[in-house]
Amino acid sequence: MIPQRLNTYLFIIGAALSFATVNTAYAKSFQSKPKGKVHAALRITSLEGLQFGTIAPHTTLADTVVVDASSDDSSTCGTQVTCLESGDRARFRITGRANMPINVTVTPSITLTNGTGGSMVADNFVLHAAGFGNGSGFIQGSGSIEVGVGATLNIGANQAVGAYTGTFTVTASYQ
Amino acid sequence: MNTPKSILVAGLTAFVAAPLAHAGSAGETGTANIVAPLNVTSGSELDFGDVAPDLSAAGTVEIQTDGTKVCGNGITCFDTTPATVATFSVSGFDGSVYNIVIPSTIDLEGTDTADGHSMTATLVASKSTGILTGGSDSFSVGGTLTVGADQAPGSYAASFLVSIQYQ
Repeated sequence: MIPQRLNTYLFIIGAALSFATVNTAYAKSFQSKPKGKVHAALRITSLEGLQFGTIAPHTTLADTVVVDASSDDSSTCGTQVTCLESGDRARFRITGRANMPINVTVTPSITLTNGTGGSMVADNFVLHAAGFGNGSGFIQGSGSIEVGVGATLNIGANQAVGAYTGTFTVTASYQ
Repeated sequence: MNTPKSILVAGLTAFVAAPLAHAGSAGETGTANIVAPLNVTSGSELDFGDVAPDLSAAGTVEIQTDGTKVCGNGITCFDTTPATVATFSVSGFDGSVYNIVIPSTIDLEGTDTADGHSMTATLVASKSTGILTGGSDSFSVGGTLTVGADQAPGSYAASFLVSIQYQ
């Protein structure tokens, strides 16, 4: 049988050891490492404006000039108007994350004015780019893609003379 | 019989000497707090994923503590790299309550092409206290990343301390 005094010693040992354990187990910390990756914002740069060219109207009949979106210096002149020079498509460069799908939209129609009361409507805006369909395509592996824009200009009978201008907007977004 | 007892007492005396100064009184500490060690291990890290900023306005990417991702104000979140919430597993004394402490905001610093740039994120834990039911529990940490207008492209990273302690 162990004497009473020895029991007290054993008790003290237990207490001391448990204190050491409690101190190290009371709190813990852990290093966490959050992260994220940012890719280039989509940018649109205008390379060239849309040109319908120099046109002489018919005195009594309206007609159109259609600028081709897929090739430079290409337009179709209606039979009732005379095109003194060819129209030319607009071109934009869109840059962003390579190989990512994007949507591109263009203003459906605009009004061109000559500053002295004359106006014409341009509509049927068309987008063209390699691999594009219905305004949807991919940024190429180079990180950019070039987009052509064509449209139809509606010239009225005996359209007022002047230099007509207007503004249209191309918008791009990641899908 | 006498010889073994003498050896035992001598050994006990040596053990007791150091802890007595710390514990103060043998009588007070004898019944005390023997608990399972509190421990925390990390699962996934908080990852805001791959994003693209708006050109002209700042936006946010929120990773909620259940893993839901919300991209706001012109930010594009690419699904090619799904975002993840930070997860932690805690073990300790069955039934005890512990506190979770994390910083409220952190700065993610740019690396590689984004060197010298930074973004700020606010952090949120799924709970501020937990109960070690059955001796274990878990929690998650999400956050909201503010991506600046035309934020510099590149990888961003940070580190923060998650601390837990028994109540």
